[in-house]
Amino acid sequence: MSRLSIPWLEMAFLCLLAAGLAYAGNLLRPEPLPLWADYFQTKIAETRAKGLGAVSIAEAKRLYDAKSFLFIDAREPDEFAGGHLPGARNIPFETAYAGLDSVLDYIPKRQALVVYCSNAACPKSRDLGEQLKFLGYRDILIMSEGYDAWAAKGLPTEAK
Amino acid sequence: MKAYLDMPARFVFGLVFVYAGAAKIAQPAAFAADIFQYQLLSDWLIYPAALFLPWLEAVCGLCLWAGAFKRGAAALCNLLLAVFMAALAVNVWRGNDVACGCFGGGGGEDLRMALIRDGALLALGLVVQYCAGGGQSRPKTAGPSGSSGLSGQTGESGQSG
Repeated sequence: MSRLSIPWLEMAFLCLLAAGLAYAGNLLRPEPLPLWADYFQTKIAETRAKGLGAVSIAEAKRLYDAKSFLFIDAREPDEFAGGHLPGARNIPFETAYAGLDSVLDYIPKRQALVVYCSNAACPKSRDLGEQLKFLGYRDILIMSEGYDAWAAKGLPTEAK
Repeated sequence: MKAYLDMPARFVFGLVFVYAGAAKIAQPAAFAADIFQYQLLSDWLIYPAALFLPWLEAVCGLCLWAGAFKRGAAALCNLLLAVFMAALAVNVWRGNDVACGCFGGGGGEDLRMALIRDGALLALGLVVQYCAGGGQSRPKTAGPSGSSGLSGQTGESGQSG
C-alpha cells in the first residue's frame, strides 16, 4: 500500500519551491511578465500603446458589413489559403521586410484598415499595423481576437 | 530489477523535464502565447501558468536527477504529463492547429505526434514512479554487501510523504 500512497508533502514542497523561483526569476527579468493580469486585455493595451486602435469581433463585423474598411490578413499565405475573411488581402508580416511599399501601392493611404492574424497571442497583426502606420496609413484598427475567434463565431469566411 | 532501472529511468525522465522547463523559462512570453492558443485556461491564469509551470518542470527534473524528493517529483511530472496530454487531446479533438509549445515557444510539431510522445514519456514516468515508490529496492535474496547508495536513497524516499 505504501507504494500507492501519494507523497503530498513532497509535492507541496516542490510546488512552493517552483513558485518561489518563478516569482524571483520573473523579478530579475528586464521585462517581467505581469503576475496577475488578463492576458487578452494586456494584448489590447499593447496594441493601443503602439498607437493602434483595437476592435472586438462584434465591432469588426459591423465594419465588415459597412464595407468601408479593408481587412488585411497578416498570417502566412498557407494559413490565408486555408480560410480568411471574404475580401481580405493577405499581407504576411514577413513582407514588411521585403518590399511592403510595392505590395501596398494599390491601397491608398486614406484607406481605413482592419488588420488581423490568428488570435491575441499572435503578434503579427500588431507588428504589421505598426509598420503600416509608419508607412503613412492613419486609420488602422487591430482585430485582436483574430481569425480563429471570427471563424468560431460562425461569421463569413472563404477559402482560396 | 528496480535498482537497475531506477537511475537510468530517472536520468532520462529528468533530462526531458529540465530541458523542457529551461526552454520555457528562457521565453515566458512565448510560452504564455502558446498557453493562450490552447484556449483552455481563463485569461487571468495565462501569465501565472506561464511563469510557474516551467519552473515546476525544471525543479522536478533536477530533483529526479539528484535523487531528492523522488516520489514527489515523479508524481508531479506524471501529473503534468497527464494534464498536457489532456490539453493536447482536447485541441486535436477541436481540430485546432496550435503550436505545441512543449519545449518552448512556437514550433510546428504535430499535436498527434506530441500526444504519442507524451504517452511514451508517461509510461517512462510510471516506471520512475514505481522505482521511487518506496519499499524494498532490492530483492530479498540480495545480500547486504550488494546494497548501494542508490538502494538506500530509494528506501529513504519511501518513508517520506
